[in-house]
Amino acid sequence: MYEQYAHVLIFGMIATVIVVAPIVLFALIRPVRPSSEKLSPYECGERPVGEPWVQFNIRYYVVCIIFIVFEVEVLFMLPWAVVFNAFRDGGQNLQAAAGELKNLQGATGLIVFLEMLIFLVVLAVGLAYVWAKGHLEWIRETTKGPELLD
Amino acid sequence: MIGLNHFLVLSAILFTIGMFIVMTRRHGIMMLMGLELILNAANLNLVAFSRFVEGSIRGQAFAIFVIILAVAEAAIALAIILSIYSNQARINLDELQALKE
Amino acid sequence: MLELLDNMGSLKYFLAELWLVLWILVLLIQPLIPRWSSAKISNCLAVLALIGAAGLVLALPVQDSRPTLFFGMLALDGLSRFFKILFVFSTLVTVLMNLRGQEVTDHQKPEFYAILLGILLGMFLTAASMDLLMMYLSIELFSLGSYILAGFSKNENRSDEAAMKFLLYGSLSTGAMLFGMTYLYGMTGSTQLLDIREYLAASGTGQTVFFVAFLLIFVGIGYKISAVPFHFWAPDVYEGSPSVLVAFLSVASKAAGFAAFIRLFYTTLLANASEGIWTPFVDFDWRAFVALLAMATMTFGNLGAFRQENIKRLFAYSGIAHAGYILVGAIALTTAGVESILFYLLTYFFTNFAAFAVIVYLADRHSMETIEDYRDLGKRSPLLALALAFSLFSLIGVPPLAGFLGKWYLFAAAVQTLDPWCIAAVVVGLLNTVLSVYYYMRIIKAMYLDHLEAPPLLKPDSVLVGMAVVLSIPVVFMFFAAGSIYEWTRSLSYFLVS
Repeated sequence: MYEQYAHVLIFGMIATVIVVAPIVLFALIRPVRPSSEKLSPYECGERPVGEPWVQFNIRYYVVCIIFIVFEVEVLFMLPWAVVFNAFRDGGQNLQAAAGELKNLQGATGLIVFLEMLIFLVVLAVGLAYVWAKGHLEWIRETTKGPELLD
Repeated sequence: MIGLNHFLVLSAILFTIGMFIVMTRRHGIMMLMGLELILNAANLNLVAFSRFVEGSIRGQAFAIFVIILAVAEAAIALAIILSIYSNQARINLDELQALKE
Repeated sequence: MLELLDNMGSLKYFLAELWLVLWILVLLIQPLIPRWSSAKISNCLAVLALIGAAGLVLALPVQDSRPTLFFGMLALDGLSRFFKILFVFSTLVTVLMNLRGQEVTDHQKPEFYAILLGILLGMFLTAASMDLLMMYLSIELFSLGSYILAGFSKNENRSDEAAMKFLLYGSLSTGAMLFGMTYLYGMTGSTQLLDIREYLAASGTGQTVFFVAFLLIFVGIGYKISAVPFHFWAPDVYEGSPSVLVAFLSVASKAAGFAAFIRLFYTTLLANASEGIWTPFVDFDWRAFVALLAMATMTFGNLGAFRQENIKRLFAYSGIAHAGYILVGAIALTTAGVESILFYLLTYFFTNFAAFAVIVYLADRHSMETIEDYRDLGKRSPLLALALAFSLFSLIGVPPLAGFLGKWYLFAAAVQTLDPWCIAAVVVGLLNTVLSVYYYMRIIKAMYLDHLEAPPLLKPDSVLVGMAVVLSIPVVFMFFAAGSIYEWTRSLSYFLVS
């Protein structure tokens, strides 16, 4: 059962050798003359500015929280869209859709469509709320309106 | 062949790691990551059971809802952590000492 | 006889939930319209929404056919009806307490009410859910809402900290519960509680995995009812959160936990409710496990309350102890056990809200939170002191107050089974009642026996004083109608499989 993993193992070993061998080889034959420019991290020829461990702007977190509206939308619309095909012509295609779908024979395309529309309206209210409260603005006056987060 | 047991072992390992992180770490973001591991372990279980045991999409549908909940939970946690950070400049649970016996 | 209703057919039994969704949206939009954005209007809208929801719940048709809605997702039975009534009135009382509150500031009120209605929606669904997916989603819905509201006191470090601890450990416990549910689904091949019940009745629960699954599920539910060892969040959250929310959590969240407990464990595990037979776990005495847990919960709760100075913290421990008492009804595993749990929750609703009307008034309006602050309340505000005293006596279980009646039915149901574990739990429960006298009496002593030279005056608040009085009337006079009220809870204690 595990024999097929032998290929993976051999592949991994060869890959390791190919990566490690030049590093070791060059370390042995090259002259060692370190300077501060050589030791600095390479950033496409640019001179590095500041520390790599900077704190991200706190606004990214807010954007990340608002993003959930869209994530929910896509995640639930995708399965809906797959199933919707079976309901398109008023349930005619339902015989073709096997299994779980047979429970839903009473539903027609219009009802299925309206269900998704209601879901989208609820999400839209959430988005409108965020918009009206000014959380979609990147630069905003801190005094204006109540804040979402504090 | 990879079977159901492989998935179950993997998810059990994920669950244990997540539990361990939440129990031992005191950094808010770290604990949040542990929680995500726990929920994803459950997702793995659901999808594996759905594929190998039941053969229908019920478990996968369950997993979609769990993903959404995990995101919502993370959002609320982030909002609370941000609020604490802007008020007190701390994220570490051990440094929060307003409520004690 | 069970009847499966499809999506369209279910809608007419689902009006209360739809109504709540509508008002959540209205409350979110209301502050965005400048002319409508005053706190008075949000108060009015929230009260209107809840009165409407209460009407819809009470008008829900009683069915003999016991239909399940949405292809077996939700139950329409007595149990869900009882809990919906309890939840909707808890929320209504909470909103009324908050009308002139200051801990939740005026511009936060629309959000507060919208999220509170969301929590109520989650609790409605928890009480009715007949599917693991539905149960997990609804428990998370009301939990997530309560995490947000726990952090609602602005500029208060305690509130943020409470919310953070509540959320992290709460998510941990529901995560464990979800993991247990996945095993249950994997072993039985279905997420429907009735299918799981059939599977377990046919093939037994001999395998260890079922034990692990139910234990993990109990972690999640135990957290919600604050049973030992999942109780440690309660004192911190009670102390740090806005007082109105604490009042709500102490009654509704606990009741929702017990709703999920009864729904899940009784439906799946109990082969025959009237005779009280668990489908047994091999090599493991589940009844002994719950009994030990109940005893530990009561004892830890009461011992923890001893050295508390903050009254909200003290009530957190008191709530833990009462969760222990209610668990005694769950050991009994009989129909009488379920009935007595429901009846106890009803008495606890009146008693705890009467006490919290006073606590909210003092903590919210006057920032008085310690027992020292309560000195001489008997003179400064006789009505409030009287209401608090009666509800404290009721929490102790002094006859003939409501709390005594609740404990009486609970312990009677446990003793009737003649099971040694039940009897042991009742004995420990009685000892704990004696133990609890000490810390409840400390408050009463502070109110009536400690006199101040020049007690600071209290601004009167007609709404809260009125609520304290109205809520303590049933606490005092319930024994007149105890029989018929118990009959009412009995008539609602049936659920789909009983």
